[in-house]
Amino acid sequence: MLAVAGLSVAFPAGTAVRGVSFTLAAGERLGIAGESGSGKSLLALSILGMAPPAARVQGSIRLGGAEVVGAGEPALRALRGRVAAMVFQEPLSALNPLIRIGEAIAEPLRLRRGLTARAARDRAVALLGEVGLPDPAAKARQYPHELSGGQRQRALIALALAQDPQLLIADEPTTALDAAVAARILGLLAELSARRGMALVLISHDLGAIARVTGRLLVMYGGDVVEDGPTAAVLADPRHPYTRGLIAARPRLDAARPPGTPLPAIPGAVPPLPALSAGCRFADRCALARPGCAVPPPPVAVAPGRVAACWAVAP
Amino acid sequence: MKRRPVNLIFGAALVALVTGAALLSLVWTPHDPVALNVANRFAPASATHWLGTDQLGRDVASMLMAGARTSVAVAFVAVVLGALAGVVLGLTAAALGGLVDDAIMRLADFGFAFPALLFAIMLAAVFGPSLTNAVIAIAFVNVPTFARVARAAAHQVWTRGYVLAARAAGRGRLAITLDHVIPNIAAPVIVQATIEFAIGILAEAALSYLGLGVQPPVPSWGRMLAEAQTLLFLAPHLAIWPGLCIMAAVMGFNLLGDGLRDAADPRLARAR
Repeated sequence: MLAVAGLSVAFPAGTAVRGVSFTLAAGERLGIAGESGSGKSLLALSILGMAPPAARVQGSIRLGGAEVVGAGEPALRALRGRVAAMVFQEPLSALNPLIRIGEAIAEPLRLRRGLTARAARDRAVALLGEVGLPDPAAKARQYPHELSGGQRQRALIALALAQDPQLLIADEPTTALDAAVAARILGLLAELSARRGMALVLISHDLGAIARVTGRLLVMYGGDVVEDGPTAAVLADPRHPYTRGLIAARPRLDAARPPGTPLPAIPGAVPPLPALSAGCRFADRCALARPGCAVPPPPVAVAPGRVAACWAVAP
Repeated sequence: MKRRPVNLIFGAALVALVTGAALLSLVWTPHDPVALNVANRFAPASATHWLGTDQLGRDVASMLMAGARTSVAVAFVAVVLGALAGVVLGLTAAALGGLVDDAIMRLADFGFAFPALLFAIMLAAVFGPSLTNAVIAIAFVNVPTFARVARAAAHQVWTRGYVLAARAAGRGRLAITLDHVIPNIAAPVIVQATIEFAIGILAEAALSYLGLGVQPPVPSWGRMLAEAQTLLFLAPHLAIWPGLCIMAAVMGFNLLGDGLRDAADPRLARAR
């Protein structure tokens, strides 16, 4: 239902997403991992045709049978919310503080679906129940500040589900939440996806979250997809040096690491846009870098259903 | 310790006094404010004429009350018209951005550069001096201010997460403006309206003083001042009272605006 092909998003300062391709079947759950600045969020916004005005988007994004790249605002608005909806990172700022939760969900239903005020309100309460809020009728009458962080994120998910999208994009949905609440929200997302047959794109820098919820994983670095494959296989046997670094850098309680030793880390940071190289963008932080890395590595099949873009792993 | 909002209380009291007098004058004044009684001119303050009478024997207290009505009415209509036009322009600029934004803001710059009094004189010269033209002139100079305040506040709202979420839900610019932007810019616009009200009262007084505003016999503080000018040494109270009224009204609305701003933004109050 979603097919991204050769997608590039360029700013005057540089190319932030470079030649990304993937497809997503109905009901499939995809994780996108990578550190800040890897282009994950921009990719997500681009799927809804919401890249910043300064960005030049090239390639193709087919969403529910319609082309997003180059589409006009009315066509995009018809897709947003109905075909694909999005849940954002900050559950407090993503809700208007002046609008009650129930109204926030009911309003678009009335205006876009033509529901009566009563039907829209009932639907809002039903949605709040579906996302697991206790006493949804009472919650519908409350303002965002009266809810806890986890409850606000549930309310936001209800808002995104209101128009029964076929695809839900969750951009770092648990970053602002504590671990226990985050785990429950992730469980909810997986459950909703399964129950509704709704495709899910989970964007996160937390590989644990992605492992819990998704069946397939894209690892992004500097605007490139560096590795793509079944989540379990990629995490168990990472091929790209960046994926290996990400997995090694995860803090783990069970790891045999003597107290006081620092966590393993990938040296350096994602360079700013203008400084990203034209070749392999990870080369300057990579232990396996070689002169050939000045040429961008093509995606290579490394195992059945698995692709990595690295000169060092080419079979 | 919580600081008392002195500005707010004092300003609100002055505003209540002025608008109360204006409202009361609709139904009752001590005397008919336009009744002449030449035999009893320049009367000193007394039980019948609280603030004395002027050169034509009119009761000064009654004229001041009726003048308050003129001032408040002119300022109110001018601020409402100016705010409506300005906020619509500001919201449009913020919602559409780009060339539209630039065009509207350059237009606002032009409006700022154009002296209000000059515009009023022009209107008076073309259409004749009248209350309506005074209102139009004052409203016109309000538009750019409101446009800027609304645009700045709306720009901030457009960067909020809930606007992004609304866009992701497929809502259009108009729906987002109505649902999310307007409620969230209400506070700065109301504060600005209160301050513009003070400026409106001052502008009405100035225009009437110059003879470009309210025409006789409708009482106006500005015209009372103008008429008292030549009699300043003979009857100073004729100039002092309307002067005090203008000052009280302007100060009242300014203090109220300041107080409301502090109340709307607690950070500002603490920073002082």
